[in-house]
Amino acid sequence: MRHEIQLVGQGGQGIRLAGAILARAFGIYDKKNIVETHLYGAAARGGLSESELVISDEEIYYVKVQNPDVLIVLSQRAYDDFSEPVKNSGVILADDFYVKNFKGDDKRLTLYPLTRIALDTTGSLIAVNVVSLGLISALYSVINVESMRKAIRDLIREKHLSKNLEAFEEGYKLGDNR
Amino acid sequence: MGQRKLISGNHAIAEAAIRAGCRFFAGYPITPSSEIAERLAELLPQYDGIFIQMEDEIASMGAIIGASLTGKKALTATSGPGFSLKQENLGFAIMGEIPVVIVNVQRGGPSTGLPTFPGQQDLMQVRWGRHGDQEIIALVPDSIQESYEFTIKAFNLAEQYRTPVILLTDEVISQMKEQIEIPDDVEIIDREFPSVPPEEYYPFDGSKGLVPPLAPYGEGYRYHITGLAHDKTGFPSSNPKVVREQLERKLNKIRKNRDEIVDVEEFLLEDAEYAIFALGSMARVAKQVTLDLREEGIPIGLLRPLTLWPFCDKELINYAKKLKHIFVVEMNFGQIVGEVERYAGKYTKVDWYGRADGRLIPPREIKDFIKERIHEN
Repeated sequence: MRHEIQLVGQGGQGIRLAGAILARAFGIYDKKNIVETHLYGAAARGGLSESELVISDEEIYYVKVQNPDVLIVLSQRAYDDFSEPVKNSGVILADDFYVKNFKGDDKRLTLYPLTRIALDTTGSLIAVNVVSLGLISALYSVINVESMRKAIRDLIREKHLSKNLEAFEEGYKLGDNR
Repeated sequence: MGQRKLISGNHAIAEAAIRAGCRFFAGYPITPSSEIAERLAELLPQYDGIFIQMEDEIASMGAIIGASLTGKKALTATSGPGFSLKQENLGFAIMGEIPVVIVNVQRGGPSTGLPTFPGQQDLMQVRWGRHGDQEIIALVPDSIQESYEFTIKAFNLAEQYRTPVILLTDEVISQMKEQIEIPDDVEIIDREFPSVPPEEYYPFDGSKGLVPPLAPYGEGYRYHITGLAHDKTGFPSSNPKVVREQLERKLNKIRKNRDEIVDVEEFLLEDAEYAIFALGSMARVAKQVTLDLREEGIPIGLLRPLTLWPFCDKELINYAKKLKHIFVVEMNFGQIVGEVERYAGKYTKVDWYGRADGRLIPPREIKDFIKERIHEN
């Protein structure tokens, strides 16, 4: 079974790190075949940032996502440019601070206060990446939440770890309460 | 079982270089290859190696040539625009028969092009980017596992044949992460040291074989290396017999060992009536296309060159004689298709599909193209 997860936002939102955490959780702790790729612009901040993950029990030949099962969008442009290919049965999780305009009645779309939770929990916008990871860990059964916690511990620096774990749990609660 | 690792293509290349015995890197950062330099800047000092960031790509190429002549295995890594700059010194390394490895992580071109997006637009530049007659060895991985293994192979071939070797990857393969298994045992080949004392040593003496031993500078062997046509001593010569013999030997050391060097992957070709010809990241897409089309009952396979140069002419002809149709798929506006037509065109139909807009071509597009062509014929 092939699963595709895609995260899109702006440079500075920790999109690449979120992709690396997902890759580590699936690849190292769940021992699944994964390929992580990304799109990025020349600018360090403010430009498009994207990370995508293909997970499969089989060999992965086409390494890019085609029709994501889960798409996280953390900017208006991310929603505008990346929502169309998402599966009909898939989900689009959008940040309600950055994403304001939607195309008609999109049944795949749900808005969440991801940035707000990041700010409230850690005092920093950048933790929006781990809040998002917490949310999808609760909503998407393919993700093993314990593996995600381990991957976060591996990849986030000691200094920022407790705040980030807290933000992750807040994101998890957000999904779990639904 | 070797150790499993989740790693990017660029980091795999850096780690494999250390494993192959590389102890010198000179480079100039360029997207999407910079992580190779970055990782080697961390690793090389731990192995008593030397890492230098040079002022540009021209100097980097010069530095690895110098390092190799002192007996070190040396590497540089770059992308299209930097690879263009390296051509002059690369020609010198071919003429001087100096073993070095050059990684070219292809991005979209021409010129500065698309720094953060893939392309396969340097295939012919790798072959003919320098002036003059020459053979070149180029390896093309389609996974991180192969990025690791082919890096070691590139060093081995460079040492064995005393020649520059290109590892040709692209933005997709170099930037993506996947799991690999680090092999427990790898074969490492080191260049041959002269068996004669310094006073009897000639760096280009072909009388005992196509690949003369290369003495490291600093061990008492004093000799001359030049880009000019030269005799066995390394000093310039314009004697037509000497010039021809030296150049023929330099070509023949690759040409006559072609069967040892050239490698292809044959994917579902045993009973195939059709085949895709693709390499690198596009070969990986082509595997998916092959599986999808087989599911629809179309007997198709994939012929994938692992060595782009020397070209897999014999292997291709062998299949062309049996196949109804070959589809060349590449991320450019038509490069390797010329070689495929040259060898396979006599025996079977050759069709081409490709583009270069910085995006990996998705399987559906290729599938539709192939089905349409099969239907038309």
